[in-house]
Amino acid sequence: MKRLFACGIALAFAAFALAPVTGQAQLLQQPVRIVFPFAAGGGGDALARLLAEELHKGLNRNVVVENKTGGAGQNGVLEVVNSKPDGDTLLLTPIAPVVVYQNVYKNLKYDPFKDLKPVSLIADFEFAIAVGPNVPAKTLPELVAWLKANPKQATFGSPGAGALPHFFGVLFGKAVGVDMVHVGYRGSAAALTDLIGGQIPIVVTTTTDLLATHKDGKIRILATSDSKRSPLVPEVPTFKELGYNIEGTAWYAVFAPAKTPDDVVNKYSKILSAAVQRPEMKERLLTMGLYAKGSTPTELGKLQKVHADRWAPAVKASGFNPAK
Amino acid sequence: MNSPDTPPANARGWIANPRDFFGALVLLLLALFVLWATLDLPGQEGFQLGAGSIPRLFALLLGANALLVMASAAFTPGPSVRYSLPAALAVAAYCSTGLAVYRLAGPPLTAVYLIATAFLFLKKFDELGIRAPVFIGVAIFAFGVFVKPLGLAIAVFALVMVSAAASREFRFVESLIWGVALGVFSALFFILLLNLPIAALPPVLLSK
Amino acid sequence: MTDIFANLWFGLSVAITPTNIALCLIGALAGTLVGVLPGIGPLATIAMLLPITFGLSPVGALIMLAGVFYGAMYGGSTTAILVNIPGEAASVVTTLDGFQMALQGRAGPALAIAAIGSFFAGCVATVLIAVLAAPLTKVALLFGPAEYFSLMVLGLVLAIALANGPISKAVLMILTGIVLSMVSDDVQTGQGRMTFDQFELSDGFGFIIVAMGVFGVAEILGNLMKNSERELVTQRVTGLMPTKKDLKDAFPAILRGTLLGSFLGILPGGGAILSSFASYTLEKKISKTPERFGKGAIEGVAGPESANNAASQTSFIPLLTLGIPANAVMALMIGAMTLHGISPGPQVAVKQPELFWGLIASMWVGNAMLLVINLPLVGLWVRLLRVPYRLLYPMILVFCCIGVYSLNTSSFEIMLALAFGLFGYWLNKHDFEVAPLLLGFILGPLMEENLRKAVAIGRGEYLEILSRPLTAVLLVTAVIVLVLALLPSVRKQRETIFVE
Repeated sequence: MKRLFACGIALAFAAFALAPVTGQAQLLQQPVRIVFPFAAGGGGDALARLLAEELHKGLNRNVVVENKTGGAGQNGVLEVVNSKPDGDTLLLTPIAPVVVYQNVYKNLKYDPFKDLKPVSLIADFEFAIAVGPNVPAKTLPELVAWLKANPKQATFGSPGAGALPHFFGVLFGKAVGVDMVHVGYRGSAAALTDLIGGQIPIVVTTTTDLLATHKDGKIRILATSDSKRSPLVPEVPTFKELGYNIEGTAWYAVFAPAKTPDDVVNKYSKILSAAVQRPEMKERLLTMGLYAKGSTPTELGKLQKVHADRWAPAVKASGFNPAK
Repeated sequence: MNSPDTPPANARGWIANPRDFFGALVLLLLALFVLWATLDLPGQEGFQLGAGSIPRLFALLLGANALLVMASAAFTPGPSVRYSLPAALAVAAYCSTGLAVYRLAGPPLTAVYLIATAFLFLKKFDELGIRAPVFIGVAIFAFGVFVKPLGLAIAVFALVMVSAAASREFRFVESLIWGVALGVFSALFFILLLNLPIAALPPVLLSK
Repeated sequence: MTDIFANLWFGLSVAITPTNIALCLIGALAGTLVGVLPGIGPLATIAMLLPITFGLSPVGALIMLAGVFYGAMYGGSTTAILVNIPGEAASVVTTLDGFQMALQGRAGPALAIAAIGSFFAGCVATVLIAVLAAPLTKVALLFGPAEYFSLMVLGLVLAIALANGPISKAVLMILTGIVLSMVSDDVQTGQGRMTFDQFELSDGFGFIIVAMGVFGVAEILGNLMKNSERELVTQRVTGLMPTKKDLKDAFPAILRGTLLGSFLGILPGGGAILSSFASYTLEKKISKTPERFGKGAIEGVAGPESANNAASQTSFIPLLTLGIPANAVMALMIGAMTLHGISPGPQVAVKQPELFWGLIASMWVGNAMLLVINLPLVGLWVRLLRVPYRLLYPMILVFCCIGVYSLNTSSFEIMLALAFGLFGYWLNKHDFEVAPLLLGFILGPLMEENLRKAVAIGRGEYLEILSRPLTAVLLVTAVIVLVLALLPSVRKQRETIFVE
């Protein structure tokens, strides 16, 4: 009996430590769900949990993050598309499922433009190309020359087949006229390990993921993908500066089911935009490699269309076609 | 479905070790299924291995190995396995009527139907030696079907009540109390403390 | 050398403030309690508990998360020993002898030796990280896709030793596991393989789903079908703490497990996964009484548990020296770091020494907390087994189902777990062991992925790829081990046929 009692105390103790600061009515109240279409634990997942905290403060309602994985994000998007448009379901997604998938998956079960209503852009990030210790090139033109001299080494790794860095690498290969072989990894970390170890000559992924090892001198970032230089590595030129007409940025944004009422969407948009613009939030996001943005629903809708047009040719050129 | 007790090894037919033989046979069928299911996947393209290369390779290895085990089981004596025809028929009838209800009335009512018939024919299932798989299976099925529309507390309660009946030591009142206790605990622990994105009570009852 | 110990001392002074000890204790306690639930592994535990660290200082948050990590890891072993359900890959091996010990009334010693072994391994690995992080990193970088491929082949061959029965059936199970693991979208081309356009299958069957099925549900079905009342585990409790003889038996195993785990842990491409069962295989091979393994040999718990903990410790090395997470849990730690405004990487040691050394010291503190929490809890856990089985198994089912559902809030995945449960029961009935199946399931995709990467990078020149020195050594070792494993069985078979 004593032991059981001790167990009870331990549980109560843990309860105190664990209890999130939410209302007592949590069990009786319908929470707002933020659906995140990838597994718990990744970078975007942490972002979802940060936003949940902000929404909770702004709405004074319980907000939960629901990870809905599958189909490289399609499952989560579909979950939101099929949810009641009552404002209790939101989607936090990276760019790909709502901008390029209509060109990748022939039988995509949703229309990213018609089945979703834009709420707010959250944050931007960009890509970079980096070379490992076995590649002599110090600049991008040197790399191009080296690739042309050693076509058998023209292999690049990306954090995943069908992810935007994959397509961006293909875009780069087209721009410089080299046939690049793509190797898909599971996430940046694995690709980076092989890059540092000299197992693979080139990796294309987000600038953030390359940053620490670049600063340490183990690898070299040769160019970044935005139209202006990255604040993380201001000494590195962009592709555009170097005369290659390729550009690519990615982002995280929040969407809602298409029929969600406009006033609800506007309310969420205001809360989220204001939240990501707060200085301490901006700084937090920057250490995660994200440039805080925030936008109105209309702005996000426009951005979605512009980017869809930009990526379409790269997807085609990559030959990536899961339906094959 | 098979019954728990295996007859002594001397009661054997033309196969020396039926347990291994039929076990490996099913795995051979699995290998054949995999070969069939990966037929449309590309193999080697240029120097790159395709999506289908490795699965087919291992399906072949699995099939070959299964054949080896079957061959040796045919001649090396070993224990037997008894499959009961009446039990199999009962399960088939149970599942097919369940499927029919599923088509007509949807998942939640199917769960209700399966639970009701399981309890109704409890004695019969017990005699056939398939009480445990039937009740455990239905309990898990019911949890999966109930948890979204009815919330975690009720789904847990149903899971406990039905699964408890899988045991011959089933006591109704005790399970009732245990089901309520676990339902309340799950709601408090998983939803209040861990903030899992699951509703505790039927979502229709919840306020905004 | 003195420098390093000065640094460690500095780190300890950071970690041993009352607040930080309290945070570590809370973290380890919360991690243990959540990690004990079948179906909720360390990754899910940390992800769920991450928000509660938002309000803390960066050092405090990391120390607490380290506590959660160790707590959850150890909690997983507790479940493996008590109810034969592995919560993550590492504890698959612990079920083999740990649960057998529990059946013999020796759950207490099994739990205690797991805690003691983990603590010892944690201490050694912590010093190792402080002293040898840089050279070990260089070793890790020698491993490319080709080397990982051959390491996984070796791992699969070693997995044969996990089975008690005939080798041919163990191989059959490993192959079945590999084949099942191929159900998913292809990593290189995105093409669905046997997924039948089900999104739930596109990332493969989740480990938790398979483990809850073939261990959790199948075990319950097996017990209920036995007709007879399940022998109550604790009716023959023979002491809560390990005896002197236990300690003497276990100590060399702990030592070997620690060494093996420390080395494998630094390989970020899946080395840590191999650590626990490589240690089990080693113990079984060098034991004078290998027949005791799988029947409650204490070395079979002590070795793998130590190896596993040492590996999870040294898997911090790539994170600290290169800024690269070795596994999903480490990636989550990076996420936590960045949430607190720290960009992880080699510069952390220089720029924020209190954080770097504080974290390393907190690993040690975390392990100590684990011992402090868990040795007294052993009595409680053993008492849990005294709950009548008719009440215990519905509770296990509840936690398994919630664990599976919490992954993806998908009812379909619960049905999958049920299907795996029936499959696992059927396998048990036909005397197939599920541990090798699960290992094939875990290692298969790693092997395929690395092979295909190696072929793509090496432009299909197999000879060149396979003759890389490390690759060749590993592959030859695998062949030798395989032949050695097969020889006795072939001989035995011949003998039995002869006798016929």
